[in-house]
Amino acid sequence: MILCPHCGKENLPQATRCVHCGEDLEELFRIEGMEDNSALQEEPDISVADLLESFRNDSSPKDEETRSADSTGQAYVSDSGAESNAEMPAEEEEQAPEWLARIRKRAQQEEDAAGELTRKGNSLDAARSEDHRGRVDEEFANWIGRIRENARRENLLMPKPAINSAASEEGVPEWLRKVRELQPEAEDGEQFAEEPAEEPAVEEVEPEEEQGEAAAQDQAQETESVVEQTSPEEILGDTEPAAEAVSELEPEPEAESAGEKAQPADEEDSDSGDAEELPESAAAPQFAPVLEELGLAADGAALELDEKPASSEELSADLLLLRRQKENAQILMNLIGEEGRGIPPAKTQRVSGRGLYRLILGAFLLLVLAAVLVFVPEAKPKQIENPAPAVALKDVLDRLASGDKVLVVLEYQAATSPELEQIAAPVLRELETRGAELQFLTTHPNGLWLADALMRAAEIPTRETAFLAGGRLGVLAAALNSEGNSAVIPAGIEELQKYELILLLEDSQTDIQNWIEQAGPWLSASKLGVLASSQNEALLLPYYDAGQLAGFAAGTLQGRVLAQALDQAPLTSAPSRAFQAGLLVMIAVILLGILSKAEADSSARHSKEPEA
Amino acid sequence: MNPMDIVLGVIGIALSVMIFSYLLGDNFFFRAALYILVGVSSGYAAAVLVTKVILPRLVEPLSQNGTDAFWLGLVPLALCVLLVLMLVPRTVKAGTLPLAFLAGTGAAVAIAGISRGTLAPQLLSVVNRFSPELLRANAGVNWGGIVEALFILLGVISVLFYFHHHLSRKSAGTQRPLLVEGISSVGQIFLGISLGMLFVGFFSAALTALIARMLWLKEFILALLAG
Repeated sequence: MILCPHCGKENLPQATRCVHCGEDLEELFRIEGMEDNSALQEEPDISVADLLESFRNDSSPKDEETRSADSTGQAYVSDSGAESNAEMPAEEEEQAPEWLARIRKRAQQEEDAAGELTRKGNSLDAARSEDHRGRVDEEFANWIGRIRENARRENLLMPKPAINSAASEEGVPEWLRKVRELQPEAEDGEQFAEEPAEEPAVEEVEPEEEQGEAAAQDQAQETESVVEQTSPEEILGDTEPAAEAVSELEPEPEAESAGEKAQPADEEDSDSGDAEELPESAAAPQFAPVLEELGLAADGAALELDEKPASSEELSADLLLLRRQKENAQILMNLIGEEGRGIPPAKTQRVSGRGLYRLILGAFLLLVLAAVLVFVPEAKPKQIENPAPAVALKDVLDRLASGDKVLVVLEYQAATSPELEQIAAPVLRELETRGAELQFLTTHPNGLWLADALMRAAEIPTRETAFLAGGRLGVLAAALNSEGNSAVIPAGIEELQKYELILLLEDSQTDIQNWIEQAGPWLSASKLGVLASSQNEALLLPYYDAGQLAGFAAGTLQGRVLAQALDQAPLTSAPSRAFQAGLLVMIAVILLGILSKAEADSSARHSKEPEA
Repeated sequence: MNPMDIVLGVIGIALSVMIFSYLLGDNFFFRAALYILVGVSSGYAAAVLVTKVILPRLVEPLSQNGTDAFWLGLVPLALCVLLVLMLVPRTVKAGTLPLAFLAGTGAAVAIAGISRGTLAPQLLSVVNRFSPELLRANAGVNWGGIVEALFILLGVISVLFYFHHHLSRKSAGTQRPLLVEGISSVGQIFLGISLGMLFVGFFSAALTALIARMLWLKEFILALLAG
């Protein structure tokens, strides 16, 4: 198996292209016997300048094809560490082994072989023409530098087996020693574990996928500026420009392959030694902004430090937590922490000036009402034709005789008590005048004290108000209380069928439906009468039309009409002028709103037309 | 006007002004008034429930040892204990039994009531509009009754069309036939009229409450000035 110089993965010996990264494998020219040349492998520290110079000097006019093949072979053998063949003098060709002579001979004779072998040489020669020679040389040097850089970084990333002897030489734990090895500058007391996400450790880079000569020429335009600014020595070195050039390369997709890739570079690292690692690590924080800007820092390239593990093997594994893994873990922890919490209210963007309009309109309405209440005298009540539901309710009230039981159910809030009292007070006075036996019941706690206020407003004797608990269920229990001995029904409240009229004082649609749906089917249609606020009129009409209500009066206007029909004076606290003024203000506001909306829509339409 | 009336009146004025301050936007005074309202209402409701429900319905029967009321009182007591156990995190599930009992009973009662008290009577009302007795008047045809019945029928069908096809169109994203769209549009008109009537009712109720409060302020100030 041969190793790809680009990705470092294994390929078959006869492979001409890497099956993993698609890189051309010039190992085609590697001949067994040359691989075992230990002298070549023992010189990993290649001098690129010398190598390029050898390429140039090697192109003598005679025997062009042979030199091309030789130089090409030199170049690609140097990829695997046998670059010293480039300095082989031409006269030594005669002393070449027999196998090499046969190959050269066959390459000259066979056109196919010549096409395959010499094409690369010719292409290299063409690339080394006057127009492209300098660029190709720089690209080649850059490529070598990136391979070296990559191998050195991968070697740093690869977990090393723990050395027991070094663990406690100076009382420094093994994990801390590895941390210092990765980040030497952080030895000055910086806490790694506290801020792991902000310390991009060692950047993993790998050569670009298309590292062949053709690919290098294709991408020469993109990297020309960087290559021109960096000499091969700078690239091979650990200076900041070299790191910037390297950082523009693609990040390592899988950190697991770091160990495999680091194998060929072990010897280089051993040569370079710690002297090269220290400046590189010192430059890492300087590269962090550049890498973050390029989006390379979050792609699993950076290392994260974790808490102190138990064993040396676990130490190395924990130290190599990827940033993305840690971020995912943090997201999961946040999700678990948010479980069961309410969704925060969505922030709505306030329209500027909206509060001002609201203030102006509200103040205007208040001023109008106050002016009407203070300066405008109350008008005499007009004789208005009674609406049909109110007339029906009046007929029911007229049929009541002395001693008939009437159950008054209070289900309204304090906010609507003025309206309900205006409607109900004349009716209660009429019932009291007729001698009806009134009983008060409420299903709302507020109804207990509102009932007292109502009785005072109606100027009738105060009675005790019963409280029926349970809402809808309580109403159903009261309706089914045929024997009148239910423990749920408060004392004093009899079977509902025994009441001649059940008068509901309502401001809630739900409460009205509770009585109509739960108690209505068990009662005759003529026993349910409703006095409601004006907001419930629309709901009550269908029930009245269906014959489920004996009659109703909704709102102060109908209440005033009903009071007139019953020959009762309405309450004095019913300023109809102010009510009319308030309605006029609201109508004006609605019309203004319609006009302004139409104007805004028209403007928006006109503004869109020129764009179209 | 006695001093207590003056104090209560001043407090009432202050609370009213705090509520009116909402015209300036959501502020501390408005929220404080709301908190006072909610707190007082909750406290009052709790006191009423204790005195009107818990004591007479739970404690008193349990004090009658050996009677039927005692044994019946054990059932709500057990349910209350299960509800109280919800305060302990390890026994939260124990409270699901009384809650399930309450929710199931409420749903059953509501469904039965709606079916028997609203759906069936309203549908019968629409059908009865077409009864011959209502459509005949003085040996002739009651055209007014016929038009009214047809109008009501149109309103019912179009509103049902609107709700059904509006929702299905939103889910499917397809274009409905023209007839269906036309009937749905008519339903929208009926709905708009109904909602407009509801809005007028709500506004009238709120306006009445506002006028009553301003009238009370006026009378209080006049009484205060009169001494």
